[in-house]
Amino acid sequence: MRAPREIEELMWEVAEGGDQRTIDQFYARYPEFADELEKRMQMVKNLRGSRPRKDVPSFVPRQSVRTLGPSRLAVAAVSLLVLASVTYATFAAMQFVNSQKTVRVEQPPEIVFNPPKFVQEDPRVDTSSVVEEYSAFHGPAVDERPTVPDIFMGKVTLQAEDISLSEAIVSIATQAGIEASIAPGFEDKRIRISCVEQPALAVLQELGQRFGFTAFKQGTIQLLIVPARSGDEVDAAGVPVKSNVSTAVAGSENTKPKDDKEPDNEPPAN
Amino acid sequence: MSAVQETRRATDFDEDLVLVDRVVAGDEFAFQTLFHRYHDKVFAIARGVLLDTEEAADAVQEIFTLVYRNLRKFDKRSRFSTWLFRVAVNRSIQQARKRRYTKKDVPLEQAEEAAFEVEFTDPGDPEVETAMSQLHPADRALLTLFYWDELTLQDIGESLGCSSNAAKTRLFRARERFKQQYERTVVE
Repeated sequence: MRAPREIEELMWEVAEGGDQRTIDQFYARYPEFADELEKRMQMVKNLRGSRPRKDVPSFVPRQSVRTLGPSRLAVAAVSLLVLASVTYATFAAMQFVNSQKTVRVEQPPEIVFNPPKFVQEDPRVDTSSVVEEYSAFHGPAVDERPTVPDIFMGKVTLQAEDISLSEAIVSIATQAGIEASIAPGFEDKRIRISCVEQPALAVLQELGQRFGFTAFKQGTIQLLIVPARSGDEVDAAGVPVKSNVSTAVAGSENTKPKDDKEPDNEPPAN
Repeated sequence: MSAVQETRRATDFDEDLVLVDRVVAGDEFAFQTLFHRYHDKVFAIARGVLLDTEEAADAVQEIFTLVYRNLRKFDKRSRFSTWLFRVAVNRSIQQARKRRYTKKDVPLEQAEEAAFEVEFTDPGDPEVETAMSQLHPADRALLTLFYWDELTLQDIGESLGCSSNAAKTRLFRARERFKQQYERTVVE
């Protein structure tokens, strides 16, 4: 029966100690290992009894001591030789392998990639020199873009003693090049008018204030004449704050300009 | 234990160091004292490893010669005896290995007979000698240091360059191998 390691170590210690009391205790505790302990005791006894004895001679130093192991020089030489052999063998093997190659692999053509250089130019252009040069020859730069003439500001002249309001509006518009349209419900009447070289739109607006209509610009050349509503009706004899147009209902006495600040027609006294 | 404490302990309690200093100073008689003091133990190591009395006696002379020549290199960080036993163990094991390689050169007919056999010029217990001859020289050195020189596990560890625990483990294995060989020898 194989004893556990702890028991084996204990048996060696008991056998080496040789104390009878300890031995008896071991027998009592581990009777199954009694034989093993006795074997070890005998073994230790024989081993110790085999200790060699020899008379002590005198010490005579040796002139030389044998070199049991290889000398360092020999080790270095052998190492160097082995290293050189391995190196040569590697070189020879590489040479052999290279010579056995039948397929020749050509090197692929070298491709040099030169990407085009895109330069982002500054969009801002310095025109100062150009402007200076232009100004030197042509004077200061002038904005020569075509401008659309405002036909509503065209000067018109109309002098009539007895003319219908619609005819006066059409005449003024025609002189200025305006396409005038008169909305339904327009109340026509006979008037007397006198204006010289006045803006067409201003004349029409003043007529509208006096005779109850509004002139609306429609685009660049059209004009819409819309009669005023009942609440907005202006008295036919109403005088504008400032007027360059002299108008009056035909047959009436009012021929003064508006800036006279006198009503053309006095309301009838009841 | 630190090296400083070890040195102090050795200085305080190892009177061998006084003799070592005297040897280094040129007193050859002091080395004779060391030789007589440790001859038996060194011889036991050499005999236990080499298993040959004459060869062991020759080895002892060489071991002490080596120690005598290299005594100036002894740094006194350990006891002189520990250093001496380490030299003895290493030298004996080297010599045992060299002899084993030499024995490989014998003719094939004699090889079986010569294998693991050593001529015992002064055999003690023949069964012990036979069992010892079957062991590795390092195992023989361990058993010799423990049973013949009666060193402690710590001294054995220092002599072999290992810890006391490692020495204990190695000693246990060496004893078990010896027991195995010894029992086999007894049965035969």
